[in-house]
Amino acid sequence: MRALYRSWLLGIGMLCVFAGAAGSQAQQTRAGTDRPGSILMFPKVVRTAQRDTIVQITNTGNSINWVHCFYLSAPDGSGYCGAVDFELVLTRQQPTQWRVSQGRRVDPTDSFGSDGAGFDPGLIPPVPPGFQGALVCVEVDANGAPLGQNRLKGEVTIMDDSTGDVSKYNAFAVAARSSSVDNPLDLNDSEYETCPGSLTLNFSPRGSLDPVIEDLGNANLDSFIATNLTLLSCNLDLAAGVRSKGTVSYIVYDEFESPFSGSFPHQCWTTIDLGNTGGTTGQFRSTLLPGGTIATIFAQAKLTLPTGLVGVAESFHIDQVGVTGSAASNLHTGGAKSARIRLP
Amino acid sequence: MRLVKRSPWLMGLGVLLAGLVTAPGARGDVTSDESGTLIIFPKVVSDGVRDTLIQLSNRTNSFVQVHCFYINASGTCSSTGEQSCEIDTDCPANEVCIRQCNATNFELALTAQQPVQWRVSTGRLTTIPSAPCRPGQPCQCTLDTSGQLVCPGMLIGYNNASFVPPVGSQFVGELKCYQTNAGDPYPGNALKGTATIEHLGSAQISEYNALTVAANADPQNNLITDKELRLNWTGLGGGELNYCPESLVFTANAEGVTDAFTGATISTELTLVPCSELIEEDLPAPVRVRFVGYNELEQQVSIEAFRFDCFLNRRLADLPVSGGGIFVSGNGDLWKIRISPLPVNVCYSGSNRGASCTQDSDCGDNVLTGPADTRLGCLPASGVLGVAEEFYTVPGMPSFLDGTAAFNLRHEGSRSGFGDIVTLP
Amino acid sequence: MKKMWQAAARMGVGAGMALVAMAGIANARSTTNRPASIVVWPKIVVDTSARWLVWPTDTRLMLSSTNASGIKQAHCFYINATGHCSNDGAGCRDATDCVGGECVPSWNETDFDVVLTQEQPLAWYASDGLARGQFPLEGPFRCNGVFAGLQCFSDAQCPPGVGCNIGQSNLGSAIPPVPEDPFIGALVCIQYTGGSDTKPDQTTTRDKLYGDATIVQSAAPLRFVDPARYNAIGLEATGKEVSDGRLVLDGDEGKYQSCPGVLILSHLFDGAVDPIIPAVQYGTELTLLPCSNDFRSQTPGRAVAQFLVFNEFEQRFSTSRTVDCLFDSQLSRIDTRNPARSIFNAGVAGSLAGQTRIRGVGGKAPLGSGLLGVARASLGPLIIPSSAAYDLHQQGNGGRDLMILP
Repeated sequence: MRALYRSWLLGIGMLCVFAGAAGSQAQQTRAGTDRPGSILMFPKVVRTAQRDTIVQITNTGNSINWVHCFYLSAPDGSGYCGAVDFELVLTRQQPTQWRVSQGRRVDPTDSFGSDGAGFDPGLIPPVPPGFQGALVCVEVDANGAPLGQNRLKGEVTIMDDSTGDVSKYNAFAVAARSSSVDNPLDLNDSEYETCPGSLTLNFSPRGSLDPVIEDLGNANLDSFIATNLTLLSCNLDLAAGVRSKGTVSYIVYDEFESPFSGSFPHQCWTTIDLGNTGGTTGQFRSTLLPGGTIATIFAQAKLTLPTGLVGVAESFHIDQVGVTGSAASNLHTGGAKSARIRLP
Repeated sequence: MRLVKRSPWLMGLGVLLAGLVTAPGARGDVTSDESGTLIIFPKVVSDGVRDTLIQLSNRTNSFVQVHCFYINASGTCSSTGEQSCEIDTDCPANEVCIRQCNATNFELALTAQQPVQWRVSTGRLTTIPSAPCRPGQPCQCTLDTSGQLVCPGMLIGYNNASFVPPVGSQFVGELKCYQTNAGDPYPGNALKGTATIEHLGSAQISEYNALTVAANADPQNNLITDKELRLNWTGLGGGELNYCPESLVFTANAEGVTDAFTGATISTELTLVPCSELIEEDLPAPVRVRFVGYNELEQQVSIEAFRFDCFLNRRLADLPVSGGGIFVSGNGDLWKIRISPLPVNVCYSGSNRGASCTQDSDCGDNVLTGPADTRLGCLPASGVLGVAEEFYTVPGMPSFLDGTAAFNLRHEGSRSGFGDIVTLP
Repeated sequence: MKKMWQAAARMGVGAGMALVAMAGIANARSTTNRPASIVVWPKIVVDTSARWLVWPTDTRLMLSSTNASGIKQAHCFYINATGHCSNDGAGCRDATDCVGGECVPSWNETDFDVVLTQEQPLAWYASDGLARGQFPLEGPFRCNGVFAGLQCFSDAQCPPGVGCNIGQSNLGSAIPPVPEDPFIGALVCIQYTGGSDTKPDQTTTRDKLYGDATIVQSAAPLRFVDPARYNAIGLEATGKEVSDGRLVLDGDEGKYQSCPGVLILSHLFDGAVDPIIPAVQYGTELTLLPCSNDFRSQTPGRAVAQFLVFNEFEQRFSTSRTVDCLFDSQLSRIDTRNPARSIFNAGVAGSLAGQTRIRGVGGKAPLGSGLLGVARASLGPLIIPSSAAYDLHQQGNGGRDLMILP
């Protein structure tokens, strides 16, 4: 009896040890979207004939902050990311913004209330028409060396110039874990936080009817939902522009708990169309989950990443006459993956 | 009679000082204002709109043999083969720009101090005997029935044979020549040249000095007479030819800026060629460069990890992508731009040619070997050389009336280590 | 035997010493490819009213710093080589510009300072210069720290103890326009250390300047532009301090590298029919500037330029001409007033292409006889001018030259 009691306690002890281990794993920090950091990653920045992007960055600290930013794009489909970079200086608590199609100049004569009003943070080049890519900003010191002050936060608004429709998401902020950081930036929970090891998104499969639009009287039942997923690798060699690639595995559960699984390749920057819409045809490279595969209008996809990735999803809701409403959402994160960012 | 003592110290010094006087400047520079063994004309245009006049001179008192090759860098998109291009973003999505980078070889001979000239579209014929020009009469070349130029001058070769072949009117690329002796590379450092690009309609001309690379004339460490030219000499000690520069720098007006004196809009076209060439293997050398620009307000923007193969000829308005230039008015009126090859290794051959690598095995199968057994696998990305040309466009006037002016870029530092390689057929 | 080995050993040591000496001897000549400490623009032409030239002409000058951190100061001298007619005092290049008078040569200099911030390029037209208020980085600046919202030009404009974050600026710069129009001359800029104890820069961050010039012809009615751009010539510093205002240009023996021993000009002979467009002919202007100048006593450099001209038949001609302060001439007017009879004329030379070697001799001590130069090729006759400027090649080290600063 006594042996049994001991073994029972042993089992509880073991459980506590495992729980403790799990707890200590849970303490491993990874990039998030809800607090400032030293590295900001904006996975989706677009400038097309119809859509433009407004970037907002804020210095949450009480002293001047230098920031080195990189536009990344993979225009030729090879997955090779080239970068155009520029530098910003933000004064204490200063928010700043710019429209990527226009960039921003340093012009102290900007009138109050105009687009360029306020302390200009620096020269920001415009992106070319047709640009699709990402923006990565890193906190640095006056000499350009990485600095881990964890004072940056960022948001993006993607706007449809013709309809005024907007989507908004928060930038991933990677916090520095150490006061001593250097180049390359190691996202290994020792120097900087890690990147997510998995991403979860809820979405409506392609072709799903939008219940709200239907409820409002879409008599012809032609409403449509489509979702676009954009992923940015955390492994970035911004000096050499080395291609980053791998395979993302996914498992999708519908409301009946039926699983569907598969994989797709990812590169430095990847955008996946989980469905086609009239407004986005031709804009994206591949299609997953053709209509009819999933029997419910709501599903959960869990992406298992071979390497650190951050991402954002954007859903498009279209009614019978083609009016489109969009909404971007940050993805839920899980797990942890180490990564490295090398600055020039 | 007093005997003159010979000092061994002075003798040793004297021998080497004698070498100094005749040796090329011990510096390790690629220059555009001195002579060399390898001479490079980065921008040669014969496209039916503009043509190029090459002037090549022997600056020594000795007879000189020269081997040249034109490299035609015209590119076409991989699927839509009719569409010309320079880099991948010029092509539709999922297509790449394929540059042939074909080489056309020919040989010349120059007598002591002899200058020669030829028009690249037509080439030039050897004529023996050749009548000189006379006072009061037009001094000109004439077109032969073969379409090549016949000009007054003494050209070594067979009568009515091509001194220089024509390239026709669909050529954009470069010309590289090196000094030889009985067919092998020879470190004579005798060559210098200029190129004049001329518009066929308006006669607007641009002129630049060719780039020259001096060879190590030291008999102990001189140009090895194999078919590989190694640009790995600092100017002292061992090595074959000078290293290419570590970076190029130039100052240019921002794209689209209006010139205050003329009211013209100024555009700058940058031409870059790799220091390395795989002529024997008929493969373009992979280039990875970084552009860093500073405007007059000391603001900096840069383009990281820009890639091209074989030849780049772009307006600043199209760097890094067509229509998406960053060195444009609106971002500043004046830009100082530094171009630096990235310190990365890339595959020069093999099934993964062009990919970044850390060792030869990363380059896949069929990694080639050069004529002197240098493995052409995972090697440092090539150095670059180049020139630039400005175009002044008056609003409302057709582009063929653009004023043009070419200029040489500045060089900073020297590459090191492996350097660059030119494999010869 | 022992003596033989000793002798051989001494020879070897002597050779070794020479090798070591060689290691210190860089390319001891001017350069048009590298940043330097002395930058020379041999040809500046301003004729905005087309009094000399067919079309209004100006020269756009560029000066850039390659210093990655910190300011660099350039102390510059415009060299005015514009002559003046004896009858009416108007500017002239030669007697053909004077109606009934002689063109009296003249030489004077105007000096000024330019302060460049790190990596900064600057450009200006010679006819305009750049006045205070026209430089890109002159302020206003901002107070430090929490008072960054306040603009300032000096510490006194910020709260006590806060300071004005001036950083790097062009304050202290002023570039005058060239002293007359029309104007022909040159520009020489010398890199200084800057600051309160400024002197010619021989520090480890020397050789950070380079320059360009674009000679622009333009005519509004015909709406054309003809630019001709060349690289300014650089002379690198050797690292030896200059304390007496005497810049010795003598390679490693001096404070700066020497001028070249020989300049080499590749050209088509004047009157050669253009092989590309046979309706036009080539002409080339050559500009030579003495390396040596005494700005203190206002004594220009002077040398005799010897020309060896080779044609495509390997035939050789020669001539010489005095370079007094600045020499600017069509090639076929170097040796004669009748261009059709010049050795630089294609009909006389016998071929289209030529190579001309130019050597300076006979400089007046203590100034030397080194020469720098630039060429400009042009086509004509054309309704719209067409020209292109280019740098000369060089060979060998020149002798000792001297620049004496005020």
